Amino acid sequence: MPETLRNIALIVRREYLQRLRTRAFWVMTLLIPAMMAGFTLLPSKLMTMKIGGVHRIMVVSDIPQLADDFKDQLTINRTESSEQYSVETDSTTTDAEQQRLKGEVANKKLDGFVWLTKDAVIGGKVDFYTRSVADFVAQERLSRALFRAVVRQRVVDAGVKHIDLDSLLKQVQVEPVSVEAGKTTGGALFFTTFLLVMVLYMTVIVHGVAVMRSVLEEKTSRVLEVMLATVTPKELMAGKMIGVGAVGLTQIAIWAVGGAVYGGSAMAAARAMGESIHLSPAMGIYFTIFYVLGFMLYSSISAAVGAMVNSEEEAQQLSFVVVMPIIVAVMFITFIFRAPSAPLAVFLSLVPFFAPILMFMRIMIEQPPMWQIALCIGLMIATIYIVLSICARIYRVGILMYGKRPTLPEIIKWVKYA
Amino acid sequence: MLTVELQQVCKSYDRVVAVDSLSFTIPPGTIFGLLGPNGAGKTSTIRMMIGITMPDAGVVRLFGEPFTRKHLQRVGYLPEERGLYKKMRVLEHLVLLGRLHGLSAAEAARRAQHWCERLEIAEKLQKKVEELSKGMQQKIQFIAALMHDPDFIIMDEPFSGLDPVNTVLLKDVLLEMKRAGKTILFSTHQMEQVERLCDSITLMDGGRAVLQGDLRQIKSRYGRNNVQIEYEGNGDFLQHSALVQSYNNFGNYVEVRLAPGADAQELLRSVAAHSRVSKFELVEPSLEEIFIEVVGKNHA
Repeated sequence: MPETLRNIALIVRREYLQRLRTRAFWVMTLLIPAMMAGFTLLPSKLMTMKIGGVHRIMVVSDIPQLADDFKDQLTINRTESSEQYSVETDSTTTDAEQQRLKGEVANKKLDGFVWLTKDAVIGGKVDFYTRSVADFVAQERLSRALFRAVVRQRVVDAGVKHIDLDSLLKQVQVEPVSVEAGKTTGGALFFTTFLLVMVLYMTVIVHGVAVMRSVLEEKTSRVLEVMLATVTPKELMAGKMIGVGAVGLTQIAIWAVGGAVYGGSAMAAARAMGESIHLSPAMGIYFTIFYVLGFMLYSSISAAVGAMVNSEEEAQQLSFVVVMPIIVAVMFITFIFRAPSAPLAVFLSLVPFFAPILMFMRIMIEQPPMWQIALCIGLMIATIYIVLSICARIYRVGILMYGKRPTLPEIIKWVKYA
Repeated sequence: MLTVELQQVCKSYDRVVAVDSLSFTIPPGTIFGLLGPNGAGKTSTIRMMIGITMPDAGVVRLFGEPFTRKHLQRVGYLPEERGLYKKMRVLEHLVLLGRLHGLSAAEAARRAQHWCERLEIAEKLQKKVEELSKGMQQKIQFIAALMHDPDFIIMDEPFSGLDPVNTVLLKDVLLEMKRAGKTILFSTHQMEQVERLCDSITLMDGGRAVLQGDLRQIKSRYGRNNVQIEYEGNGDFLQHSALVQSYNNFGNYVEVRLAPGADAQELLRSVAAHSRVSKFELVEPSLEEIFIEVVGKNHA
C-alpha cells in the first residue's frame, strides 16, 4: 500500500510538472477566460459600437411640426455611445423628390431618408430608404425617435398644450431582484452564470481529453511497458487522472486569484458594459466541486478510450463521442435560464453526465433545494465509481494491445477479465 | 534457491494460446536465454514473470517465493517495446524510474550520474529525451533497468539497433553483473549473441518449450558432425557427395553437415582430391542451426 501511494505520487508529480512546464498550459490559462468573455461580450459590444462618422438623414414630411420633432429627438445624444445624426427636413413629398433623394442615397450624398407622410403615420408604417437595410441598431434608434415624435404629435392633436414630453415618456423598467440574499440583478447574474458555465465546460473538456492524449502518448511512445515493470495499470491511470486534474485545479486557482486581484479582463469588460459580476466564495466552491466531478467522469472514459486507440486520428474521432454528453448539456442552457426549477430542468440537472453544467447553473441562478444538490453529487459519485471501475479494466487490457481498434464485443470481454 | 522457477505456466489471449505449459528454472548467477521466433511466446512469458499479466494456470516463483509485486524491487526489466517520455530530461527521467524502484531522489540522481559516465553519455544528462539518438535512448533504458541494482535482470532484445561498439559496452556490463552474482534472462531471436553469453536456454515455439537445458549439453547432443572448410578450387563435388547431408556456402568458406554415419576423414580426403584445402575444422553446430532444425521440424 505505501508503495502504491508512492508510485501514484510520483506519477502525479511527473504528469503535473510536465504539463505546467508547457507553453500550451499558460496559453490555455489565459485564453479560456479571454475567449469566453469574448464570446459573450464581443457581439454585443460590436453591436453598439460607434461605427464612426455622422449619419446624414433627410426627413421628408408634409407635417413640418412632426419633422422638426423627429429631428430634435434624433439629434439629442442620450448616451455616450449613441451615433451622431445630422438631420435635414424637406417638405416636398412628390414622387420626383423621392426619386431625387434615392439618387442622393445611392451616390452617398445622403445615408438615408425617412418618408414621413401623413398617410404613412396613420398607417403605422414609415419607410426609411437607406443603403444598409440590415443595420437594425440604426433602425431601432430611428423607430424610437419617431415614436416619441409621433406621440407628441398625437397628444397635441388631442388638444393638450404645453406638454413635457420627457416626463410623459419616462421609461419604467422591470428590474428582476432575486429573493435570495447575496444575489445580484438579472443581467449580472446571467452574465456571470454564462461565463462560469462556459469556463467550466471548456475546462472539463480540455482536461478530460488531455487524459486521452496522455494515455495515447504513453502507448505510442512505448514508455508504458517500461512503466509497467514497476507500477500497476491502476496506479498509472490514477496518477495520470490526478495529475491532469490537478493541472485543471491550478488553472482554476490562477483564474480565481487573477480575477480577485486584477479584476480580470472579463470582469473589466463586463463593468464597461455596465454589468457587474457577482462572485461569492460559495460559487467558487461549487465550481471546483463540479469541475472535479465532471473531470473525474469524463477523464476516466477518456483514459479508457485512449487505451483503446492507436493513433491520434482515431483519438480525435472518439474524443468527440466522449464529450458529446456535455455538449448536449450545453444545449439546455437557455432552457435552464428560463425555468431553472421546472421538473424537466430538475431531472436533467440530476443526470450525472449533464450535472457538471446544468446543476451548477441551477445553483448559480436559483439555489435548488439542498437535497437535490446532495442527490446530484451522490449520483455523480456513484456513476464515477461505476464508470471508473469499467474504464480501469478497459485501460488495463487496452494499453497492452496494439494493432486494430477493438470491437465492442472485445471491449466487453476486456471488462469481464478478472 | 532458484532465482526463477516457472511451473506449467499457461496463458491464452482470446483463442490464441500464447504460452502452453511452460516450465523452466534459472539458478542464481547464470545467464539464461529465452529463445524463439517472433510470436513464440517469449514476451508473454516475461510479462507473467513481472506481474504485467497473470498466468491462467501454473506458478511463477521468483527468489524462491510465489510471485508478488514486492519482488519487482529486485527485478530490472528492459522491454523489447521500449520508450521514454520524450519531453523529460534524461536525469529527471532516470530519477523518476529509480524512485519508482524505491531509491531516494538523491541516490537515484547519484546512480544515474554514475551509470551515464560509465556508458559514456554523461554529457546528455540535462538533454531532453527527444534530442537523443535511438541508440542513446536505448542506453538510458538499459541504465533504467540496472539503476536499482536488481538481482534479476530481464533483457528483451537488448542489443537490437545498437552499433558494435555499444553492443560490446553493454555486453561487458552484463558479464560484470553476472560475475557479481546477478541472474540474467536474455530474450532474443539473434542466436549468435546468446551463444556466446548464455549458460542455459529454453527454445520456445508456438508457446511451448521445444528445447531446454544447458547450452553445452545441447550442443554436444547435436554432435560434432559439422565441418567448416576453406579451400581454393571447385566445390561442386560437394553436391554429389554421399558424405554430405547438406551444406551452406558462405563464399569464403563452406559449412557442411555430414550425412549420418559419414566419416569426416573421408570427406577431407575427398575435398583434398578436388581442391587446395587451407582449413578443415570439425565444429559444433551453431545455435542458429539447431534453432532452424528444431523449429523447422515443428513447422514441417
